[in-house]
Amino acid sequence: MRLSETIQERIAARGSRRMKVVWNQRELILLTIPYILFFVTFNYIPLLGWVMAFQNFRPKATTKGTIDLSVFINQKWVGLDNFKYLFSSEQFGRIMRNTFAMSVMNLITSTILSVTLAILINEMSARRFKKAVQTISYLPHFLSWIIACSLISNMLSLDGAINRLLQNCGIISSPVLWLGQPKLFWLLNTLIHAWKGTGWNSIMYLAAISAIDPGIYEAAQIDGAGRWQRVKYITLPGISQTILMLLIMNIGSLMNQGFDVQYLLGNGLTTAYAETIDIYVLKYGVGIGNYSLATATGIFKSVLCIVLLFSANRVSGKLFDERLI
Amino acid sequence: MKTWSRILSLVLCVALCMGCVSALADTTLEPITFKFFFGNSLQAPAEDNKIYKLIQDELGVTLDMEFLVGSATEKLGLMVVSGDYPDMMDAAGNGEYLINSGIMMPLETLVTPEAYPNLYEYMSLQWDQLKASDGHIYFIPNDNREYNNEDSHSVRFFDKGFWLCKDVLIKLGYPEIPTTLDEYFDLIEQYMALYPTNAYGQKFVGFEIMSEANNWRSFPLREPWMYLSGEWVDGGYHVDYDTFEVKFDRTTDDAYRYYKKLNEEYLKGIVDPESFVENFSEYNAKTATGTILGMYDASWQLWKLGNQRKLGHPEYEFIPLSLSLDEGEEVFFRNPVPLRQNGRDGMGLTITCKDPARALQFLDALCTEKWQKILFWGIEGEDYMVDENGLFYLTDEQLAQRSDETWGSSNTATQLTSACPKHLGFYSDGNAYTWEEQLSVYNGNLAPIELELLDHYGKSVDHQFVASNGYGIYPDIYPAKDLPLEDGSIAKIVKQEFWDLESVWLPKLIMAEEGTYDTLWAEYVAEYSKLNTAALEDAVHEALVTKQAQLDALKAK
Repeated sequence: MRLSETIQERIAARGSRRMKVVWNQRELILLTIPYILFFVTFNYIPLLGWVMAFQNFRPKATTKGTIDLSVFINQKWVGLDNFKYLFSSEQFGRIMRNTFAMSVMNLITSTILSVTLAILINEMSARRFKKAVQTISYLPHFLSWIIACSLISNMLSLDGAINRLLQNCGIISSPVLWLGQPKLFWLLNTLIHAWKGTGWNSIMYLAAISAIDPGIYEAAQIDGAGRWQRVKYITLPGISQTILMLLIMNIGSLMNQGFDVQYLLGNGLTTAYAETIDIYVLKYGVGIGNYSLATATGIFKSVLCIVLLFSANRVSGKLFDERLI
Repeated sequence: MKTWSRILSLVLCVALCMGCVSALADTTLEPITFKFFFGNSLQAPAEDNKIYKLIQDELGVTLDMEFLVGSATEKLGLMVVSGDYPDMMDAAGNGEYLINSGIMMPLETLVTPEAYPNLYEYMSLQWDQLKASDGHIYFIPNDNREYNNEDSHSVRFFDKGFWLCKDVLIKLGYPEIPTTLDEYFDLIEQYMALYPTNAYGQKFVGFEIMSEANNWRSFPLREPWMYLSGEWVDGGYHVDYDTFEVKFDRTTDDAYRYYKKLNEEYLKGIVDPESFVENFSEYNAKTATGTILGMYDASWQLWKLGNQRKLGHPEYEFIPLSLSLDEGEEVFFRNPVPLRQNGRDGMGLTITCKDPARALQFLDALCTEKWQKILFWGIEGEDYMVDENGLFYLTDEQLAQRSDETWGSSNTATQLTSACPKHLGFYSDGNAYTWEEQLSVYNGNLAPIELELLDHYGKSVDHQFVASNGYGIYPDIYPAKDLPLEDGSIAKIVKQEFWDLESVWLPKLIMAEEGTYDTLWAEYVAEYSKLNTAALEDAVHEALVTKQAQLDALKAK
């Protein structure tokens, strides 16, 4: 403790205001150091691998079992060739369209549905039923995509549940190959994501709703506000900040939502609408050993994410006075 | 208390001495553990596996096995850069990549007839073909040669062909075996008209096509016309083996006719629309349900055949057939290429192998008849019996055990046999190298109704329905489609592009509406011509020239 006393005296005597603040919060700062180390090691240092995008990367054996970082330097440098290849490939327009379309549809649908579900669950009075609904609704989130897609593929098969149901109701006369309809793929993707994610995403909104002061509801009731008016004028404005924050965060991950369903349920018939940038990288990058192209695409996606995130943040700040960053 | 502690210390001393004695007795083969990486996603054996235990006890070798999970290119890329290599690994289709990365140890100077006689005998038959382009041997192939089997006949069918459900032939009164595509589909149509549902009440599906877009196993969608055409099958490369001129064309007349025929069958309801939305595991499961009447596939991909026999409906099993587009055309189905080596298949030692001499000694021991019998037949008396003529056979319980996966996990070494050298053919005592190849066992497994079928057509084994060609008709350098192309080169990209094009267009063509096939075909050909096939042709031509020069140089030595 003597050392800290000496430091304290020094800071009190000659330290700037900033040093005083840091000293006062020293325990908190020490607590965050492991997290900072973690992020730096796993999220920032690997960025050095971005050099692969500017080379014609071919992995080479290292000497007798050691990691040799010079393998990243002794490669053929090709500058921006990989990016040029990516942007000029004729599939580029189509895959960007597919990725964006499906992500935007997912974003809008999931936000609307999750908020709606949260509000509905909140309005329920029967406690046991409320808990049951909550549990059932977020269970699909825990299924892995492979299991979920196997189930769905089975249900949508020619003699599967959906076709039989529709035939028995008289809506269609002969079974339809649902997974083979290209124009329906975006809708299918949205529905699957909605089924899997709505319950889980609604938890955040439920938490936000429960943070609203119940006194306001009582006051509104006394003033004669009906159920729907209470939701419209108290609940929604109350969670608008949360909705906006989550929306901005999800816009940041807009480009990353395009792999599981498209890989597992896409096929030759729906390729024109199902192929996203992740699938393209799998086929033309990692799949044929072209790590440089895969890295270049990764850089492109990251840059796009950052741009989208900051733009959304700015727009939100200007329009609604709410900023995330 | 003092006496007790004295007795305790005495007992401990004796125990220690006994430990020393047993260690002293076994200095000849010290135990060693080799780390073995398998490039296929196999199941790990059970802890108490008796074959691996026997290897441990008698050869002193413990195998620490690791199996591939996920994408091979990712895993191998990571392995190469990390410097953490296993002691042994198998190529599993990525041999070229492994050789180029420099992690495999050259073996041609190490394997000598004096040091490792059995291993050398195994490899020496195609010694030159085992060399990679830099003249070194890196891989010991899984199947390099046949022993005591001059005409290379086998009992199992390891090739590709058109498969027909046995019930079609049985119920239609044993008609003539179809030899053309039209006859094949005629039989299926007749059968489906008479029997729309199977014994389980499920509707039959006439023809199933494995067409999962991003899976290399979808050759049933892309290839069959190459076999039907009567030309040598070479992935769409039409090669003149004298001048090595290469013409790449997968939109030939034969392809047009084949897909047109499929289109007609689709419109009649014979071809299953679900083929185009299934993935490989769903397709595989479907083949075992007894609802499919016909498909084109490779026997090594139809993992679930034999299931219906177990469930009591052996008539829903399949026979392989060879067909042609035109009457009387010669077709090349039974392709003897598997035994032709290219230096890029098999297992090898890495440059960090902890004891190469010991590893090669281990492989040498595995090449002896004694160990091959243990690996492929099992332990005499437990897994197989010997009759009075010295022929091996399996009792009914032993045969039933073989299809039990849990039993297999503790009693067979399928992981090791997927990579180690195999004594194909026959042992010196006349038995086949594995119980699956012993004709008496194979036919003993068939149900009476299947044996009747074979009798009717005068065949002794299933695969005789497939036309077989004489061996040795192909030049050493065939097939051109297996020559390696540089990673990330334009040729490889073009390959992926035509693969994608076919994934999209072939289902469209097969499912074309009445009368639209020709216009769609014209569009397809137009799309195809936009690809940079010249780059691909040049790359393959280069590869052919290089490989031929290499082979000539090796012959000249």
